[in-house]
Parts: sequence; C-alpha cells; structure tokens
Amino acid sequence: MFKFFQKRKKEIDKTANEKIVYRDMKLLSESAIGFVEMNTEDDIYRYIGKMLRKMLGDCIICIDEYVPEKKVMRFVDIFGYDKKKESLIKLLHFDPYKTEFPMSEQELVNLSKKSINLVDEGLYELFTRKLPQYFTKGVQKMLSITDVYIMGFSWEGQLYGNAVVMMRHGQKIRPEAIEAFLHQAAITLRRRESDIALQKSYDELEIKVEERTRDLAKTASDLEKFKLAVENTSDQVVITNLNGEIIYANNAATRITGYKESEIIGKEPSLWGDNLEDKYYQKIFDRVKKSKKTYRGELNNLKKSGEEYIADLRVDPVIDPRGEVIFYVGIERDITHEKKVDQAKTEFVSLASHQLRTPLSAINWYVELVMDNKDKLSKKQIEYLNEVYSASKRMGELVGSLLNVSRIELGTFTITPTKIDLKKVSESIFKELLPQIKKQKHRITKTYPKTCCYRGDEKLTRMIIHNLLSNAVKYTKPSGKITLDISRDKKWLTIIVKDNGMGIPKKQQEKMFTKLFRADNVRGKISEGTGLGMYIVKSIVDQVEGKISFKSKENKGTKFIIKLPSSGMKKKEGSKELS
Amino acid sequence: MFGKKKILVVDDEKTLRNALREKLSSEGYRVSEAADGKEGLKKALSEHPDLILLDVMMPKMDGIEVIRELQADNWGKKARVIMLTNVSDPIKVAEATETGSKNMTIYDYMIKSDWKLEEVVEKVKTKLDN
Repeated sequence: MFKFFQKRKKEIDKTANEKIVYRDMKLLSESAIGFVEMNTEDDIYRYIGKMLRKMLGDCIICIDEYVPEKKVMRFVDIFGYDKKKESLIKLLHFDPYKTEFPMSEQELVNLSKKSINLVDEGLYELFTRKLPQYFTKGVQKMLSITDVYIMGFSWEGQLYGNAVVMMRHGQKIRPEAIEAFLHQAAITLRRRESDIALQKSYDELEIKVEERTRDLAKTASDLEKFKLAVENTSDQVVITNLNGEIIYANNAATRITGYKESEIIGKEPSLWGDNLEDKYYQKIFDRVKKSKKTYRGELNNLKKSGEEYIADLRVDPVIDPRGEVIFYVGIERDITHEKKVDQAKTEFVSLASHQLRTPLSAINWYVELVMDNKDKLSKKQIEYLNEVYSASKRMGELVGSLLNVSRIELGTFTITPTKIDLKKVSESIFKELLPQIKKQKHRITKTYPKTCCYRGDEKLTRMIIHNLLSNAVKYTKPSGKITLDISRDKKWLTIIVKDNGMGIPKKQQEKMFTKLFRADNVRGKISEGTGLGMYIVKSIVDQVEGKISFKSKENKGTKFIIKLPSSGMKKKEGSKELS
Repeated sequence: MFGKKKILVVDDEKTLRNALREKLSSEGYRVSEAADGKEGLKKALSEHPDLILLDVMMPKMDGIEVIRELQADNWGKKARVIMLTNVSDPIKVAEATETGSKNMTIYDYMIKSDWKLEEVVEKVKTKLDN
C-alpha cells in the first residue's frame, strides 16, 4: 500500500512538475512575443518587471536600468509592492525613485558573468551594509522576504540593468526558466540600442545628404554661370588637354577665327591656326609645360578666310593641388584695331615732327645765308636777324618737347635699359652746359656714388639730369652755387640737384609738373623755357616707377630729389624713343 | 672745273634745296638737284656725284629705298651719302644705318633743324676728304 502511495505521489509530483514547466514555457513564449511589441526602453524595463513577477509568483521586484556613462543603476520601478510610493519612501528612509546606485567594478563583473546572484545577507547586504542589521532584518520580516536575488540582464558583456528579486514566503525560483527570460530581456534591450543607433545614423545621413544636395545645386548653378561667362566672353577661350589637343573652344573662338567647333575640337592649336612656325608653338609649350608659367605674347594669326589679324595671346597652365598640370587655357584677344590705332598715333607724331621742323629749318638756314654777308648789313639788321634766329631755335626746342609729350601721352615711347655710366652721362651734360655755366659764373659741386653703373635707358636718364641741371643753371642769378649729388642704396638711386637761385613761389609749386607751366617770377625775366621740361621729366620718372619731389623757397633756392629704382629700369616696348 | 667736287641734293622741299644749293655753291661746289627719290636715283646713277645729300621722307621713293637701290649698283654701293632729314625716327635711323653697315659704308644722319648750314658744310668737307 505504501509503495502504491509513493508511486502515486511520484506520479502526482511529476504531473505537478510538468504543469509548472508547461506554465513556464507558456510565459516565455508570451514574453518572447511581448518584447517585440515594446517601443521604448521604459516599456521594456517595466515589462521585464511585470513578467518576472508573473513567472516568479509571490515576490517583490525592483527593476533598475544601468547607465554606463555614470556606472550607476537608475531605479525604474517596483513590482509586487501594493502600497503607495510614499509609504515605500517612509519605509526605506530614502526615495529610491530619485536615487542612483553606484556600481563597483566587481559588482559589474559579477552581474555580467552570472545572471542570477543570491544575496546571502539579504537586505542588509543589498543596502551595502550601511543600514543597521536589526533594521533590515525587521523590514525583511515585515514583508515576509525570505531570499534576495540580484539578476542582471546583459548581452555580450554589455550590462543593461538588473532586477532585485525579493522572494517571499520561502518561494523558490526555477533558474533555467528565469535565465531564459533574462536572456530575452537582454537581447531585446540590445536590439533596442542598435535600433536607436541606426536611427541616429539615418538622421545624420539625411542631414548630410540634404547639405550635399544643396552644395551640389549651388555648384551646378555656379558652374552654369561660369560656363555662360566663358562661352560668351568676347575674348577667344580655348582649353587643351596635356597633349595640346583642343577640348573646348568658346563662341568667340569660332566666331573670330571663322572655324566651326567641329573643325577645332581635337586639333592642336598649331594645326588649327596653321600659320606660325612649329618652333613658335614649341616656345609656348616650353614655358607652360616645362616651366609651368604663363605665356604672354602677340602673334599674327590667320582666320579661316585667310584674313590676318593681330592677337594678344595668353596661355596659362592649370595646375591641380598636387602641382601637376591638368590642362592648358589659351585666351586670345583681337588687338588688330588697337594696333592700327597705335600705328596711326606714331605715324602722326612722325609726320607732325617732319612738318613742323621743315619750315623751321628754312627759317634757320635763310637767316644764316643772310648773315653770311654780314658786311652788307647794318648793326640793327644783324641784331634783328639774331632775334629771329633765337626765336626759331626756341621754336625748335618747343617742337621737340611737344613731340616728346605726344609720345608720352600716347604711351608710345620705349624704355630700353642698357648699362650706363652715370658719371659719364652727367659729365657730358656739364660739358654741354659749360658755355652757360661759364657765362653765369656759377660754381659747380658734384658727388658721384662708388658704383656709377646703372641699368637704365640712356636717353631718358640723360633727359632727366639734363633738364634739372639746365633749369638750375638758367634760373640762378650769376655767381650762383649748383650741386649735383648722386647716391644709391639697396632700394633707390637718388639724384639731387640743388641751386640757390630764384626758387619757385609757394603758391605755384603745385603746378610744377603741369604742361607749359612757367612760374611768374621767371616768366618776365627769362624768356627761354618751354614749360614742358618738368612735365616730361615727371612723366619719365613715373613710367620707370621712380619718385620725384622738390623743395623750394623764392629767392633762396630749389632742391630736386629724384629716386629711380636701384635695380634698374624695366624694359618697355613701344614704337618710339623720346628724343 | 677740274677739282670742283659735285654734290647731288635730293630733297622734296624746294626752299631747303635752294638754301643748300646757295651755301654749297658759295663754298665752291657744283650742285645738282632732285625733288624726289626716283629722280634722285636716276641722277645719282647717271652723274656719279662725289657726295649725295639725301632726304628721307620724299614722295615716289623715300631715302631708304634710294639707298637700297644704290647698293645694287656697282658704283652706287661705294657712293658717299649723308642723310638729311627732319624725322627723328629711330626706326628709320636704324633702317638707314643698317642698310649702310651691310655695305661697310656707314651713312651719316643729320637732323636738319639741329644743324646750321655751315655745320652741314663742315660735315660735307670731312666726308669728301676721306
């Protein structure tokens, strides 16, 4: 009979056990589906609490969320404790909802390794032994708490939170089922974390795409503008690849040359232009390809019709950030018209010079012929003829100066620097002025620099010094003192001409460099003087990038300071020298 | 007549030609004239003057052209020439002197309005003495 009851008990136990296992399985499948529906972390943590309670039966569960940045557990909620929040706070003597529980490294490791940890000393140990044991024991008794567990949910070493489970009335846990559940919880939290990260990347990506789209739209609009600009500019623009084959030619290129775009693309500029020697193109390529510098020059080009035109050509290599040439841009401007105008200007000056000088020569020579028979003339006649002659000479000077002024104004004069000896030039000027200097009995002082070699245009330098010195001689009363001082430093060559002559009235000093200016105080006394000299000197000094200034006081004297670039004058192409 | 040197004056300006003729005659030279380059060249090649005073800017043929033509002639390339002009044109000067230096005869170049008649005569004398 006993054996029967034992067997029966076993059978009953077995059934009861099966019932429990079946119940656990049902709850686990329920939670598996339930977790999928959770939308926020808060939902998940609360669901964990609710389901755990369902599975474990009579117990009190505290759910905490782990905050990795602070290494603390944040209290989410309590499950299985029906009394109000205030009474819990009263009971514990602190507000768990507002408390963060710091986790030590050891605790973190323990939770990550083993999900279910039995707290041996119950609430006392739970509160880190900070509360008196009689107190914690009392609370435990009041709430009928028998076992305390800490269960952590972590996935691949990352801890997401824990459940503090306080079993009541001696209830036991079934670890396998609970572990399976904790697993589900951890996976769900992990997935939630990934979802959040993924959403963040999507959002960031969307912002980036928006920015990018805006940038591209702007670039496209800029490019469109540039394209229109290049396409429609009146200069010819041609772009070639590294081999010199043309990949783009703008409207002007086709229009001016007369070649269609299809006739230009793919060809080399030499073949397309086809009228300059190969070595000319070689010169261009040497500069832009080898030296990677801009080529600038003029060329006589041919249109398709055979018509010649003069172009100002500029070829630039386009260089990428690494310093490599990626293509060449050639810009050509038709300057035939400008050149024609220039030529007309210079021809005009030439012609004017010839036309004006011819009658002057006639006057001079005929006066001379009359004077050849001096014995047949009266004193007065000789005197008058001399006046005619000197007036004619002055006219000649004026014509010369006017012609120089024309050349300066028209910008058609040249600067041809050569190696000149400043001392030699100055001495020759003094020699020229010697008759006047002797007549006026002036005293001359001169100082020259150690190196008198200078890279300048001899004619222009001579004109500057000659003008200053002849003015000094002319506008100083007899027995005056005149100084020429030439010095140089790294930056400037300085020419100073000083005199103690008539000076320039203060009110008139600003007009000094204007055309045909002669100050009031000299106009009455000294008839010679074109009034153009200073204008010409200033124009020359300006053109060679020098500086000119003066200091003067009426009846005391004048000091002119001219500074020329020490490195020399720069060559200037033009059509005429000043004379 | 023997010993009097012959000078050919080529200039399109009558007044200047006259003045030169007057002066040179009074100095004892025989003077021949031409009013343009073409006539000047013709007379030079037919009369073989001892010296030619040649203007640059002239109609029909300018002074530079005349020189080029002279160079092509056996007598012409040895002719003595002084260029007389009022054009202070460096390009023309260069052309003139360059044309000259090819033939080793350096042509003198004088600007009329800068020189007195007697200075011109001086120059002529120096040139003829060589």
